[in-house]
Amino acid sequence: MDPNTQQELLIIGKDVVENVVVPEIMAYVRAHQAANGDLPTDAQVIAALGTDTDAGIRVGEAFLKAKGAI
Amino acid sequence: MKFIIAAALVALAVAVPACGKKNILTAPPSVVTQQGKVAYTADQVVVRINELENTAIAANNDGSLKDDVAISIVKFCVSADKTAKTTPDGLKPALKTGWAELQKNLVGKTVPPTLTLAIGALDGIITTFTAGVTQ
Repeated sequence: MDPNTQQELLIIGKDVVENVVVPEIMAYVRAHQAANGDLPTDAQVIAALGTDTDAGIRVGEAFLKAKGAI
Repeated sequence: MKFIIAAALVALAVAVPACGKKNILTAPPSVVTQQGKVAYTADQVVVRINELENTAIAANNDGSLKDDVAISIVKFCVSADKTAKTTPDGLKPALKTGWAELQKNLVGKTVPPTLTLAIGALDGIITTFTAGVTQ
């Protein structure tokens, strides 16, 4: 491949990736991962924080109550 | 040919971020709101705090950790959980103070190896989490 064609292809490739492919692909990949449970959504992490803090409080207070510490 | 180059660059763009060092306190890209990011980070800390709590209770149950030490650890954990639940944004300063106090209380106390490990693991997380917070 002659250098001019190679240079042209690189410029086109970079332009396509930066402006079209990457945003579209990344948005799709993220949506797919979130939808399949691979990555958590905002609602899931907010719910998880509630569940986990409740569990820690419940277990801890039961222990402290049993020891007469509260 | 153009398609192949574009496809290769896309594959790189997707793969390279995944190769970076993973920080467990950094929310994944699927979490997009500020509230979600704060909740994600707080939850990562809470999970480790609960592990410390469970380890302390188990050690107390098997007789390897005295009541007074177990109680001070569990009180710290419950307090941190309550702060994380009500005001996740306030967790950093609360932990900075609470963790320093707990560590002072633990000086000279006998703790089993399982608890030492849990304390060490949580210390690393809290140090990273509270970096930059002034008391």
